[in-house]
Amino acid sequence: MKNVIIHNITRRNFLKKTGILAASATILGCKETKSTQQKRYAMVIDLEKCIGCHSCSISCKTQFDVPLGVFRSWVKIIERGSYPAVKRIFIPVLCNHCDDPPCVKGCPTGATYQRADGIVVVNPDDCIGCKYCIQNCPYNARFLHPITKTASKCDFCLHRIKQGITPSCVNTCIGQARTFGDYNDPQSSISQILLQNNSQVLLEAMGTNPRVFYINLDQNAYTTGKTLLWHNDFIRLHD
Amino acid sequence: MNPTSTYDIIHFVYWDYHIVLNLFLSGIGIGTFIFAAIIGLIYDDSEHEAVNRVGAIISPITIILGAIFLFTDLGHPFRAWKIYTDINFSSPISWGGWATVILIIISSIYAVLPKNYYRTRQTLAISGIPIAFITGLSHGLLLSTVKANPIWFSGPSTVLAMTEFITTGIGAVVLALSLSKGAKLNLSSIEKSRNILGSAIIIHIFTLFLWITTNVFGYFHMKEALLVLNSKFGLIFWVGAVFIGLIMPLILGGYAVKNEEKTGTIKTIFPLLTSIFVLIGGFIHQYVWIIGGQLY
Repeated sequence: MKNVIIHNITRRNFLKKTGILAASATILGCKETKSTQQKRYAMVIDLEKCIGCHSCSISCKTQFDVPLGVFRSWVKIIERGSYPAVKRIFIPVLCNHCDDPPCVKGCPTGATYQRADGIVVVNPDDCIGCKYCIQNCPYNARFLHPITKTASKCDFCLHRIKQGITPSCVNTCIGQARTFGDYNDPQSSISQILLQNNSQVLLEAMGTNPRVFYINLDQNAYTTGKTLLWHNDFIRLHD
Repeated sequence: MNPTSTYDIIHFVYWDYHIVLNLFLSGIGIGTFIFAAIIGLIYDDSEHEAVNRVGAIISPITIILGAIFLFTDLGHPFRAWKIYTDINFSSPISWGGWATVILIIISSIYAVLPKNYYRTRQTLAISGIPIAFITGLSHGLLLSTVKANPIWFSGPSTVLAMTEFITTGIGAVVLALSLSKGAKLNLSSIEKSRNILGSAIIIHIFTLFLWITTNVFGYFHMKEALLVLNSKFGLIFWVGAVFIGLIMPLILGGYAVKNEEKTGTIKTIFPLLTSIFVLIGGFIHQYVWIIGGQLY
């Protein structure tokens, strides 16, 4: 009899305790997942809304005091056709903060690294200025800073994000073509826009998984007419 | 809707003659060490001693010179030590930097060690050859892993770089032997080295053909990049790198062999000219590859 009671109690207790443990673990696990879900910053640019005013380029220049001749963010302009059937396409270009960034792989000192939130940054104190990351970037988004002699590029205005402000190019875009936010949050405006529109990325075949998305992007416009010139800021090329 | 015009910012050619000279000189150093070490391992006679000794001396000098050009190209040359402390194994510069240092040490000891330290020299040669290959591989992969550049980004690029290093390395040894005071005493070794150089050139031509066909039959950007390279540097590449650097040495070598068969004497002028052509061609090839490769 004693043995049976002990057996029953043990089994009941065991099941009860296991049940409580499992339930609490599930609740805690869910809470944990929700609270620590990693942010993944991204940007979406609606090219239908871009009017090519270059205010993003200028705001970026002033924000970071970027020297002449080099850009963290700029607008590529493509003109197609012959008069009167002509078309002008604006493609704002910046670092794509790729999921698989070739610049991070190539950096010999680890000066270029990817943060947990996906932003690819350069630590100028560790950069030796070998320019290998510049060679590795398929989007030509990097440059050698003429003053600091280190690699430089867009960092999604990290200092502003830390204070809860949007990047300066997003802030200044008069057509509101740019949207910035957390890609992992399904309620964020960027997720909603990406859900409601067909989006593209630049040079998808490179397999770098860029996190700057474009709406209404003409891939051919981006890849054709690439400049081959060395010394002029804006030069028209005729194929 | 054509034509298309594009307004874009400047995309600088960031790697200049420093990197060209770095790859050219380091390549010579790698090639000479491999050649000298193999000759030293296979032949243990006085006839081949000159080849072994000359190659061993050239190797560390040219590798160090190449490294100097690399460091002077850096934005912060005094931070170069970070390459050796903050290692990133996915970067060829990182592990290649270590391989280069090890090769400099091995090749320097190999060069200064007297002949009577036979076993130590043999050990250095055996351990140095794979290190030299790894160093060469890092230099080749430096370009061939750059996904953004269709001219560099292919498997044959690495093989081509390696054969280039070996050809120019042997060329440097032949040049030094031909110019040395004891050139007439080393005629036999000069002749053998020249023959090996001929074989290396033939392999080089095959790898070049492989690289060109990869680009010609490659994807859209590969073809386009090759067209750009050809339009800007086509003449200098085909005349300088291919005709002067590869075809002329073969013609000269063939003529020299015929001449030797006819007269029974070996003239140092032929190997001398052959090696000069090989080195000129090697330099032009690196120049076109690095500078022209960045145009697209």
